[in-house]
Amino acid sequence: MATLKRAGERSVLPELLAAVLESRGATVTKRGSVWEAALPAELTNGLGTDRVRLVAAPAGRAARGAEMDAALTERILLLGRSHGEVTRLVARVAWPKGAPESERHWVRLHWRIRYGSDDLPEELVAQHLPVGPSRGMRVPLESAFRGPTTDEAGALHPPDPELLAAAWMRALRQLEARIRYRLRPHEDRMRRELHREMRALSIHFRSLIAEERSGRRRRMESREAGRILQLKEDWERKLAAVIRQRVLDTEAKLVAAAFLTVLPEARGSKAVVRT
Amino acid sequence: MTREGHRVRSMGFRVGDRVVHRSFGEGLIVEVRERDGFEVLEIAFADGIRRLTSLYPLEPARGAGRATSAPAVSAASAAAPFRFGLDFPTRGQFRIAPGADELFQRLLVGPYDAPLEHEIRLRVERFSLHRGFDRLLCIDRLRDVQKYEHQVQACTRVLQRLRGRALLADEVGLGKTIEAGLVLKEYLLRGLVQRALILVPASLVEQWDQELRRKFDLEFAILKHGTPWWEEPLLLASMDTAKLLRHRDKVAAASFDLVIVDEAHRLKNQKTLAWKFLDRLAPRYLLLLTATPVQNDLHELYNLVQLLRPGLLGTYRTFGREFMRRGDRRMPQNTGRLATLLGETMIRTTRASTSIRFPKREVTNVHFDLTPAEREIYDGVTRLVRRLSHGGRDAKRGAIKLTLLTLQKEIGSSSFAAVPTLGKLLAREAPGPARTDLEELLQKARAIDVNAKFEGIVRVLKSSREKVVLFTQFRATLEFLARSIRSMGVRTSVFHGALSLREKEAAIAQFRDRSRVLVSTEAGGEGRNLQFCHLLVNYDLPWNPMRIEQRIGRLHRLGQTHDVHVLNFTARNTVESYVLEIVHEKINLFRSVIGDLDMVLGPFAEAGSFDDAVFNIWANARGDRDIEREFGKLGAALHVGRKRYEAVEELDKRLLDGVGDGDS
Repeated sequence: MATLKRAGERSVLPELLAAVLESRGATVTKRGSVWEAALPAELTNGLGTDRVRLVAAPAGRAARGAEMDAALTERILLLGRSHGEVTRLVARVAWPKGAPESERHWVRLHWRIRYGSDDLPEELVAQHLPVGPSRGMRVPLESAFRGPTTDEAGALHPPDPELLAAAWMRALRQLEARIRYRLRPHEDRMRRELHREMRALSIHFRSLIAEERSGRRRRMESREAGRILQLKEDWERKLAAVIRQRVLDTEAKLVAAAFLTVLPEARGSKAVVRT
Repeated sequence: MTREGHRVRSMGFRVGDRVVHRSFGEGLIVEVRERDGFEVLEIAFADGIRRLTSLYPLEPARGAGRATSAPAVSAASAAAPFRFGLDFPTRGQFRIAPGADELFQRLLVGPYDAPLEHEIRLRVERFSLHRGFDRLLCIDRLRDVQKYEHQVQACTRVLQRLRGRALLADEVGLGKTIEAGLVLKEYLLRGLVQRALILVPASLVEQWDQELRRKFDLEFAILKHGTPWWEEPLLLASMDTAKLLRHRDKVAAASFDLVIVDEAHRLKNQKTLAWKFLDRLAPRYLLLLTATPVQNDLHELYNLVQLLRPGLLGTYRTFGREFMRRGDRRMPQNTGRLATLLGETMIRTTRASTSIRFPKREVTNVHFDLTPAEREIYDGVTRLVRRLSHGGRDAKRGAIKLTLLTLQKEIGSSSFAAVPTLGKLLAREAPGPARTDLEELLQKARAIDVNAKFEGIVRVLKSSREKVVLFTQFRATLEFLARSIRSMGVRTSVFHGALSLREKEAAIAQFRDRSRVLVSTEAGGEGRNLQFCHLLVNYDLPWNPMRIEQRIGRLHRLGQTHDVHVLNFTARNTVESYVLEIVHEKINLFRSVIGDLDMVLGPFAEAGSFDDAVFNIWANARGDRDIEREFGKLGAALHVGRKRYEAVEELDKRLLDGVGDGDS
């Protein structure tokens, strides 16, 4: 029962919650669209109940099942988030002819990005980066990776710190470029709007402002000039504040990382693909 | 620094970039423009704004700037020995949450988690990106809106429990418009609504437009014949215009995701075109706004709910059998069950259930006697208006009536306001007795330099130190008032329709911070926040009570903490004095807030029709007795409307208060 549907398919909340509970040692049974989980003592203490009944919400409801106990749902989801940050996965694939049969490495990083603007929804970005030269080989499909067997685990090489550091650097650069690309239209729009307002203001009252700044008040409306200058400076402060806020607000959080090792397929065997 | 002909040397600086100058320190570019072939930058440094050319040695500030104005990573930092972790020279575009360092170390040496744990974690992360409605995104994006707990709760409940189909039936003055705006904005931000339609009574189109623009930063197109309005994703229309034969198919074909209907009690009858039209629209989300969902018959409530949740209250007949007392259409039975069912689609907040203090309105009418010169002109204009409106030139009468109506209003405001219209009439009048009269009136009007009513303003300003908003309908009166008050040494701001948006903002800000008096016409004033002031003077009175209500509403609204004092200035034996007598002294219209003035005004609710009725009485009268009789009839009609409104309000209070109390 424990296996979840593969990535790309839509997760159903009860199914996900059942998988979380099962991975923590609960016994889960499924009947139709109802999952029942009998919890071990450790979970019983944490969640405050020894049995959880998970019912699929009627079609059309939002992703969070309204009928469920929202607090319990949150606690189970938190349980699912509390482990599995870093893992090591291997894949055996057919090796290109003539290529040296040494293992190759990639790193897979999952960043959760919360942008400073609500116009851009939060997103989960996955990066695949080669650790060291990839020598033309592409990272295999996600479905090709699995946990290493005991024999493999003993034989796998540890990551090279220098190469991993370089990959890390590339990852951050890519991330920065992505964030800048996503934010640019919004920043530009904001700048344009503020700039337009300031320009209108300063063009309209240019001579008055010049007089005010130079200390020559030849006109009767000198008080008016002071007011306009004040307004303009208010806008400038606002512009600075908005830009500073935007700069600080975007946050990238590394939520999960995997070190991927690709090994040459053993002769006479097929690639191992998890289903 | 060299000059290269007229070609601008652009260094790629833009407004908003932060730069460092070796003498002035760090600054913010606030303006970039060309002068004499150079790019001139205005930079706000700590000690003030300086103007420099972009050829001056400037460096992008650390932690700011754009990709083009600096290398992505400085050479020094890139060459620095990389220690494991996040010693990454980001330039302020983002920050990295703590914990990434630790994960990097674990990637190097472990311990590693089981692959299944890893997969579950990723699945949970992906799942949690489906954001629920627990946190409202729109809250931080509103401008100039004082949010109240009941409004946020109502919005959350509409989004979560009622799934976007709700009857918002809060009592008058609790901000149904804000609640609907919150729901609309939230759906738009989340991408759940792409096309939205708002249907309102014709008299409220402008007010809605301004509120949406100012408070929610939403640009709605207004449905106008001859424009390609059906292409607009956000459309505001009066119900009467939208349901016209030439529009209704296009509106229905536009398939709006969200429809909001204000004053929705007008959809009380299933047989009306409006009800059928809305039923045909069948939007995914529907909000009906009314403080009085039931007026005469419980079936009206059934009809409204039928639009939102068909079948919730059963069929028309079973609803009658189960929930209405036999022989009385207004009395419910099984009220507990009815309230439970209504709770599934209706939200009603009462004033008693909130902790908001609602300030009182104190209305005082101040009557003046016109000076002999003013009286002479007023009577002269009245005689002229009566003569010209009954003149033999039938073909032109329609056109001239509007001018005469305006003239009569202007002379009620001040002699200054009447001068331009008298001049216009004179210009097109052929020689004859009317022309002679006009010349004489114009001459006399120009000779007057002070108004009797202005004495009242002097008394008000001398008797208290409070801020005052002075309303008038006409620019000429506004200018006279501003000039005269300034000459008294009182700081005065002016607000009228000819000001640009920025000047209007500046006028309000100036009034808030520095001036004591704001002289304003109504134009564009709705929705502007004047709650910091508590004293309002109507220097002249619009004939239509709705306009007076809108004036008072600018001060007396949710968020006003003091009682609001309203002074109505009128001269005796003028049209305004009669209007005031019927709408205020007989019907007491302005002492309390009335949700739907249209209901009180009845047949006079159409734009201009109340003004027309008043003008017709005045222009057709043969003497004072005629005037008193006709104004008495008008007052009686309004009295009936007021009683009807009070009865409806009482009925709704009895029926609906308590609906939804048990819900979260």
